[in-house]
Amino acid sequence: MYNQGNLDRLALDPLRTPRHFKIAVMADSHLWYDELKVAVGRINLDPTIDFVILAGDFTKFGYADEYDRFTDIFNKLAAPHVVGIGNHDLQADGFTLFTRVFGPTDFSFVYRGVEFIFFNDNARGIRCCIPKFDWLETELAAAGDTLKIFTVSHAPPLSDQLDTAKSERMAGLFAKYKVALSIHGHTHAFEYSEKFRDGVPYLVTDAVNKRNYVTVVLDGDVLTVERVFF
Amino acid sequence: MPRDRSSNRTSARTLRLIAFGAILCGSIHADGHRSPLLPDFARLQFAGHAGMVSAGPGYSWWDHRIESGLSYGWVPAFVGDRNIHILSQKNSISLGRLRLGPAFFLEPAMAGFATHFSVGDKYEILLPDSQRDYYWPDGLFFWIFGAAKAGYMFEKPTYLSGVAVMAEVGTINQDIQAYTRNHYVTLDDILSLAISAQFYL
Repeated sequence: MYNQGNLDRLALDPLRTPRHFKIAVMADSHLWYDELKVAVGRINLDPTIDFVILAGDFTKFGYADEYDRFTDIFNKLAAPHVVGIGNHDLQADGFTLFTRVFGPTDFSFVYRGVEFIFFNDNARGIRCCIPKFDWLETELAAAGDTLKIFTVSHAPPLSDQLDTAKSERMAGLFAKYKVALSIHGHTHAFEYSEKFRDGVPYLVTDAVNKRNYVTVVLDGDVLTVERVFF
Repeated sequence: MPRDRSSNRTSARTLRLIAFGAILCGSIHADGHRSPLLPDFARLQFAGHAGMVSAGPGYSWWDHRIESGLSYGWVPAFVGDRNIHILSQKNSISLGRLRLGPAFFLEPAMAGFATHFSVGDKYEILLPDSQRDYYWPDGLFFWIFGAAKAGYMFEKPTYLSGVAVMAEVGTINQDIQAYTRNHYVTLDDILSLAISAQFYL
């Protein structure tokens, strides 16, 4: 599996310095393969990036050809990279394709003292059980007091994928478990704010055609978010 | 993998509809006159986004140079991971014909388009209200193509008045979007080949 292979590379991390790393974050590459290719080349020029996150929507129609084109480009990243699922990636046979190519849509891993929780929150038109709140709360609770928590899901709360009830439940869980950063894409519009004024910062990336990605540096308890244009 | 029961039901309904159409045409033909409802040709096609194999009847005008047909196509589970059923409506025009003797003909420049509907519960043709104006219905796609055809018309037609083979090179609208937006996506990436046999009735 694509994601598991990259997580295996992260597990080999020789430094293991707690709460000190730099990641690159992007989302919504859709059909912008030329821009994605440039972004990958630009990220490869920065050896300080520990790993890369793409927070969903690497396709427009959820077709197999799009999965192939995306992985062909993204595989050229020198750093390990982890991919979450977006609403477009779920179209047609997208769910089957995603689980076959990348693995589970909901998963977590620990990297240098931070628990990263990836989950599918693309709930528009889905009647039941997205996001899987019980699973999410179990994962959040498992972090305990020793691990910081970063969550990654494609749609930010209060976007068209999540109704008000789901958005409030999600935000409530993030506040309860003191999520250190909630990472999203979907709106194609950069935003970094404390959306609900509850101490949880929300990061939403631009789409890849806007020719930038975001770097997130964690240094102890200090979080620095910066856009990198290419 | 569980069987796609909804797709199988749709497939059975489609086959019944095609069979009914064939009987209707045949019965009208039985009184000795060629009915305008009787198709002018039947086509069997391999690939071309219409299914791994597809078949169906069609009508033609202007000495078979303009053709329009319907087909049912199937992608078997061993290719598509599950059975996929596709209904298509296809049109073409021949831009010129070369006669090679009294019976053989060659149409080296044809162009056309087809509308494909992938039916079943995975691909959407009519989107639910919550997704309308947001997603492209991924069960609906358009195939545009260029083609060449070689055929033979029988001097004394019996059941068939002629046969032809056609080779098409084409692509679908979704791939055109990817191609026009990127240097990374080349024509090689988006073009597909289709081969068909045509039986003139």
